[in-house]
Amino acid sequence: MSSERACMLCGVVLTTAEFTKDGCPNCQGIFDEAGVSTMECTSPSFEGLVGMCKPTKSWVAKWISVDPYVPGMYAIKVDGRLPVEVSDMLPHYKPRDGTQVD
Amino acid sequence: MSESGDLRPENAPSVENGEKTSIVAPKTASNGDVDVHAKAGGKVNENGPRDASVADDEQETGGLKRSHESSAAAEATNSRGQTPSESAEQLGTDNADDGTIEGQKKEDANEQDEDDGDDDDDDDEDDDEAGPRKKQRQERNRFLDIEAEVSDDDEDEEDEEESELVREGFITRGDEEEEDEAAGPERGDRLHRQLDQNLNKSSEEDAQKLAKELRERYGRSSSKQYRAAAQDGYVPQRFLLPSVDTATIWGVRCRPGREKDIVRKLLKKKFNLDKSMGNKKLKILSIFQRDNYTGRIYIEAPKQSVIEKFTAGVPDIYPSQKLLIPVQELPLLLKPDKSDDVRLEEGSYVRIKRGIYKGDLAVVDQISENNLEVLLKVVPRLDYGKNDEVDADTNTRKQKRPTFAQRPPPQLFNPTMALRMDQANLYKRDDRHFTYRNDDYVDGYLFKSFRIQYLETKSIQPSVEELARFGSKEGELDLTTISQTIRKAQAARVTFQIGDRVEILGGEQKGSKGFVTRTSTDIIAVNLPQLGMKALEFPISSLRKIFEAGDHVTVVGGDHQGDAGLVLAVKSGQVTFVSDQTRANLTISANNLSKSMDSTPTSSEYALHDIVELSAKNVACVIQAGHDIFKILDDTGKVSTITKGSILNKINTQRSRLTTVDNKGSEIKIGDTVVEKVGARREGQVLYIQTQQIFIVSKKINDNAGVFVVNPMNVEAVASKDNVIAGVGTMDLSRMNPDVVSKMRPPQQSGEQTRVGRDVALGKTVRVRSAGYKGQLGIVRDVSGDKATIELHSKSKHITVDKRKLMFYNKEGGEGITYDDLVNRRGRTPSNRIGPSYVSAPRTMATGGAPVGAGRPGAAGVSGGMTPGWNTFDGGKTPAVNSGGAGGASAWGGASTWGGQGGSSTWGGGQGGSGGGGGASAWGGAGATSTWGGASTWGNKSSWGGASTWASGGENGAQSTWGGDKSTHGAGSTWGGRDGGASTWGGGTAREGGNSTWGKDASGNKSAWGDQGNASSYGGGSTWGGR
Repeated sequence: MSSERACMLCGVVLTTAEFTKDGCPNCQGIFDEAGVSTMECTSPSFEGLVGMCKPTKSWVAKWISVDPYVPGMYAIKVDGRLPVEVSDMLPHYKPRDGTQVD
Repeated sequence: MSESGDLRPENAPSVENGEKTSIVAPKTASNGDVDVHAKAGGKVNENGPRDASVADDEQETGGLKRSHESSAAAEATNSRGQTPSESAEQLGTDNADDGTIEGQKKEDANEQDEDDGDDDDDDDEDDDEAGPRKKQRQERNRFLDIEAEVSDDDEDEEDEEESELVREGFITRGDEEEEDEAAGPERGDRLHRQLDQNLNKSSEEDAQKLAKELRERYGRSSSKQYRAAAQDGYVPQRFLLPSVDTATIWGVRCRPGREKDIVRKLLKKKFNLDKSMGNKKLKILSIFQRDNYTGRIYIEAPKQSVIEKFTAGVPDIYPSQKLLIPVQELPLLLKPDKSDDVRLEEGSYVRIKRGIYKGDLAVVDQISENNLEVLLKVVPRLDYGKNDEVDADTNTRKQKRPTFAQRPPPQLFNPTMALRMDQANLYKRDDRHFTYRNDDYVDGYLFKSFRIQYLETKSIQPSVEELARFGSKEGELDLTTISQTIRKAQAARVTFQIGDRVEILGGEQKGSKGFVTRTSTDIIAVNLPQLGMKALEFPISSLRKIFEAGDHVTVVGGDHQGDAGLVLAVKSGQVTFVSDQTRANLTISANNLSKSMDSTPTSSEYALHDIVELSAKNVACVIQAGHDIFKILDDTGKVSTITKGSILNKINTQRSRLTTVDNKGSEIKIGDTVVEKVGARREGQVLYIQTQQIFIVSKKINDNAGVFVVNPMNVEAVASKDNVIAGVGTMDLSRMNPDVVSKMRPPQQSGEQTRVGRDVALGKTVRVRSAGYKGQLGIVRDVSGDKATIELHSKSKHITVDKRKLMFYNKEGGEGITYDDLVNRRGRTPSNRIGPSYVSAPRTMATGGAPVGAGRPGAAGVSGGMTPGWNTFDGGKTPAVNSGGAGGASAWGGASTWGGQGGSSTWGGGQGGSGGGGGASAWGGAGATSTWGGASTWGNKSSWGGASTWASGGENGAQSTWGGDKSTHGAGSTWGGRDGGASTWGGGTAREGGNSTWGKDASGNKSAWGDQGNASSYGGGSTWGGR
C-alpha cells in the first residue's frame, strides 16, 4: 500500500506501477501536453480515501470536484504542488492540498 | 465501383480490392459500433483530419463506393455528398439481420450511459427523435435514425434519397450477378473473400485500438477541455453546499484502523456487483474515510436499506451502527485539510519518524518545489566508521548501516574525526561545508532531505536540551524562539472545560469573571454573569482559570502532571497547593490545573503495595505512590523516597512461586496470612518473600501503609491461601465445633488436626508401605483427609493411599519416618546430616573398642532414639524426651545409643584417658561432634535445669539429683569425675533409690564408666537400657 500515489490534479489514487504504466486515467493528456512526467504530478502523501462509484451522480464527487472523472479511488487531500508547467496551463486549477480555502 | 459492388452485395464488410480496406467501414457494419464511432468522429474536431485522410487514401486507391459510404458514415463529412445517415441506411438494408444490430445498438447505449436510471429516458428521447424518420421509411432499419442524428441537413436528406435510388439498383443487380456467377469463379472468389475478411479483421482491430487511443488521448482531457470545463463549469463551492436532497451520507461504524482497507474492499465489491447485477445496480454513489474520524467510514447512498445489502458479508464493518450525517456537517467532513495540520514553513521544528534519527528534532531548512520533500537541519549521529566491518584480507571496509537500536549519540559533525577515521569518504567543500558519505554537513549540522510523510509536524515540543544543541554552535541560545515555541506548545495544551470559572485577562472585559459555556480548540465562549448578556467568545490566551483556597485540583500539564492536592493560596494566577502525595507545597500556574474530585492520581506504572526492584538485589515495597515520586520500604525495613527513575521494574508477585518456611516449618507463600510470633504479634498477608525477609501488609497498621518486614522465622502461618479453599470439602465440621470437640476429647490430643496450613505430607518424598505399590517411591502431590495422592517415581501415575501407610523421606534419602513422626517433627524428615554423626560414632567406638554401638546401628540411627531427636533439635532435648513419650526406660534404651555414641569413651576420656578434664565440653567433643554441640548445653546448668523434665521422664531417678543438683551436675567434672560416677550421680541425689539402680548397674561398671576402655561394658547398654 505504501507504493500508492495520488494524482495532484484529479486526486485519483493508483499504485506507482499503474501510474508509470498507463499514466493518470483522467489527466494524462494534460501532463503530456505540458511535457512533464506522471511521477512529478503525483504524490505519495495523501489522505481521505474515497471510493467513487458514480462520479456523475455523487454529491461527494462534485464537492471534491472529481465528477467529470472515471470511477475509482480518489483522495480528498493530496499533499504536494503541481509542476509549474502544468499549473500555468490551468488557470482555474485548485490545489488539492488544502491550501486554498473558499 | 459499381461493378465490384455488384459482385458481392450481401457481403457488406468485404471489399473488392482487398489490399486496401477502409478503416472505418467494416467496423461500423460488422460491429454495430457505429454509434460510438460516429460520435467520436463527429464530436472531436481533431479527429477529423486524420480520419479524412484515411478516407482520401481509400478514394485514391479506388475504394468502393460502399467503402466510401461507410467511411463517410463515420466521419460525417458532407463534402463527399453523402450523409452518414445515408450510408448507414445502406448498410442497414444490406444487412440481413436488422434486429441484431438494433440490439447491439441498445447495448451500446447502455454501456455509454452509465446511469441505468436514465436508460429509459434516453431511449425515449431516441424514439422521439426517430419518430418522423420511421414514418418516412418504415421498411428500413431503425438503426439509421440514430445515425441521422449526427447531421440533420435537408440537403443531406435529398442526397440520401438520390443515392438511395442508385443503391437500390445496385442491390438488385448485385443479387442477380451473385446468383449467376455463383457456380463459376466461386472457389477463387471464396479465397479472395477470406483474405479480405482476414485483412478486415486485423485492420478493424487496428482501427479500434487507434480510436481508443485517440479517445483516451484527446477525447477526455486535453488542457483545452479542462480549461473550458473549469471556466464553464467552475462553480464556487458555496454553490455546491449540500441539501437534504442532493447528499445523503451515512456514517457507518467499522473496526478502527481498517477504514482504508474497507473502503478499498467496498469499492471493489461495488464494481463487481455492477458487473454481475446488470441493470439492478445498488445505489451506492461513493464510499469514503477520513483519518481524523477513526472507526467510521462514510457511504453516500440515497437509501439506508441499500447499505445493509451492500455491506453484508464484509468483515470489520458494523452496518447496524450507522447514522445520517447532518447536511451542515458534510463540508467539514470533506475539508481537504485537517484542522490540526500544521503548515510547514522554513524554520519550523519537526520530528523525524523513521531511520536512525527517529524521534530527533530537526529544523526545516528548505521545502522542495512540490512540497513533498523537506531539507532538514539535523544534529548528526555519526560513528565515523567505528562499527564498520573491516575485511582483514583485502583491507576493505564494509560500511555497516547504523540501526536505530545502536545509533551513535547526537553530536555535531567533527571534520577532524572524519579525517582521521574515514578519510576516504570525506570531501571538503569549504571551511564550513563538508560532504561525508554522501551527506552534506554545514557548521556541523547534517543537511538532509526527508520525505514529508516521514516527518511529524504536529504539536512538536522541543526540549530545552534539544534546542540548546541547535543553538550551541553559535554559543548563544535563541531564548526568545525557544520560549515562544514552548509557550505556543503549552498554550495549545491548555484545556478549558465547560463550567470552569475563568477570569478575562485582556480586552474590554478585562478583570471580569465568568464561566465557560462552550469550548473549542482556541476560542472559548464565556458567560459573564455581571454583564447579563449572551456568552462572549475569547481566545484561550486571554483566559485564566480561577481557583479558590480549599479547592481540590489536579495538575493537567507540565512537569507535575498527575499530581493533585488542596489549594492553599492563589496569587496572581499562581496557585499554591499541597500535594496529596508528597505533602509538599507546589506552585503552578492556574491554567495547568483543573478541578478534581478524585484525590488519588497516581502513576499508572507503580501503585501502592507494589513490589518493585531497585537493583538486581534490592527490592522494596511501594508505600506511597505519587506521579513521579514514590515512598518505599526496602527489605531492611528502611523507608526512603525515590523517583520513578530509580525503579528498575515492578515485580509481578502473582507469578512468583517463592516460598519460605515459618518457625514451625510450615510453608509460607505469597498471599498467606501470617502472625508474628514475637513482639507486637502483628498479623497480615504476605506481599513478597525474599530469602531472609518477608514483606507483610496489615490492614490494622497505619504506619508505612501497613507494610512491615520480618524474618520468616519470627512468624507463624495461620492460614494458607490455597488450603483454606481446598480443604473445605474434606473438613470435619464436628471438629470445628468447639463444643463437640471438647466433649469428645481434650483438644490438645488432636494436635495434628488443629494444625492449620498445608498438610506436612505435601511435597514429601515417600515410600509406599502398603500392598500394591509396596516399596515404590513417590512424591505426595495432594492430601485430603487421610488420603494422600502420590505421584510415583517409577511410572507416570498417581495413586491414592492412606498417608499413614507411607514412609516419609528426606529428598536426599536418609531414614524414613512415619506420618505421625513426621507430624511430630513438624514436617521435617530426618536430615541426611545425621548420618555422619552416626558414622562418626562407630569410628570413635572403634577406637574405643566399643562394639555395642556398632552392633546396634538400628538403635543408634533410627527415629526411636532420643539422640537423633536431640541431634535434630538442639534446643529441645527435653521436649524430645517427652514427646518420645516413652520416657523412662525406652528412652533410656536409647541410652544405648548414648553408649553407642561413644559418649562413654568421651566420658571416660573426660575423666582419665584424654585428660581433657572431663568437662561437658569433653563430652560434646567426643560424642557426635557436631551434634553434641548440645553438650555444651550440658555443661550449662541452666540447660540442665531442663533436667527436671528429664526427671519427669519418670523413674529415671531423682529429679533432685539432676535438676536440683545443678552444681554438682553442672560441675560436669563431678560427673566426669571418676570418683564414682554413681556416687556422684547418686550423690547428688537425695534419694538413693533410683540412683542405686543406676548406681547398681553402674556400680559394676563404675570403673568402666570412668574407664573409657570399658565403654563396651557400659555400652553394654543392656545395663542401661535394661534399667
